[in-house]
Amino acid sequence: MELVNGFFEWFGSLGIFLWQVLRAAVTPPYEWRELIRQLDEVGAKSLPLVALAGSAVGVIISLEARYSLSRFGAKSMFPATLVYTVIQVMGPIITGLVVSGRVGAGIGAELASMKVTEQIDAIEASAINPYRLLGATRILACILMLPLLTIAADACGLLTGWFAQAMVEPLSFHQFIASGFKGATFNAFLPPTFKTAVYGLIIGLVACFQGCEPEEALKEWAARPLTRWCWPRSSLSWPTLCW
Amino acid sequence: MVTAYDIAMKQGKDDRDGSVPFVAVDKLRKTFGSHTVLNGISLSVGRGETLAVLGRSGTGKSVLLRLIIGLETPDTGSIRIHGQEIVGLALDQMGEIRMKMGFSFSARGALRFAHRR
Repeated sequence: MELVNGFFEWFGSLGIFLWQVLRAAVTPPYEWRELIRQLDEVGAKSLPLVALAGSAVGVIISLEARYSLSRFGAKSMFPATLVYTVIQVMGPIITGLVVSGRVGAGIGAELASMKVTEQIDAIEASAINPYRLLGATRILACILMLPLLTIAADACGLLTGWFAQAMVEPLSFHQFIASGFKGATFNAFLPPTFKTAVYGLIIGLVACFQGCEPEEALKEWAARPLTRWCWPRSSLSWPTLCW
Repeated sequence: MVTAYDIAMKQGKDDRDGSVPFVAVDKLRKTFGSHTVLNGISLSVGRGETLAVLGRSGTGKSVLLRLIIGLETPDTGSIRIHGQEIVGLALDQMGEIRMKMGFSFSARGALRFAHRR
């Protein structure tokens, strides 16, 4: 019973936190400098890792899909298979999980250490709204950067997937792109990319909320921040990814 | 017996004549779980006055200060800054009150924050 109460209490507290952040985000003065700093932290500094993950996904899909398609005599479908798989499914998933692990855990750890060292209290005592300075900027940065990082991951995945295929059977990049995107419309690719903005909202929101939890939570979970903060974000992401 | 302090508190007078204390705490009570840290504390600090709060570790000195600056909410009681009640104020309204006050944290939190900014 206590577990059920705790479950609903957590979501209730999260909702209240989100409301506070939304109110702070839409009322001036706006923290543009902090927002730009967070865009760099979330976006630019995650780019190498996301690109690497996307590249690995592209190679793996290329290696696995070629064999399956060859068995059913559908080798010509390889470009379209890789393009649709990377852009519609694997790109958003891998980007979300990588950013969740790197950025989400980083935000949570940063805010938790600020909470323990009374920096958040100092911000509040200095008549600065901590929800606006710390919460809204980080959440907005995650929302804006996830789709862009997803596009980067998709591009790297397609590039390395083509390269892995071209190593076995010569295939020009132009032919690969033309064949892969044949008959495709924006409706096929834009929704999966932009849904990562919702994933960014979940990552930023849960990371900021968990980072601002009371000190007793830190004592218990300080030894394993990644597992503590990755699980709620990953579990909340599944409904988004299935959408 | 009703004192000038009580009358001034109730009327929320301007303190230019020194009748209203700058900080006025009345019957403050704060508990954390089953542990009562402050139990009916009342004090006032007038304009130009210096008040030192002394006590052993864990007696509620930091909690009292945190209540006055608005970082904690009391269970019962009243806190007035410059005649204005601050208990229950919204964050942005509290910001205007805090512009009149300075606070030094034991963990040098403000210095670290200033360095980051």
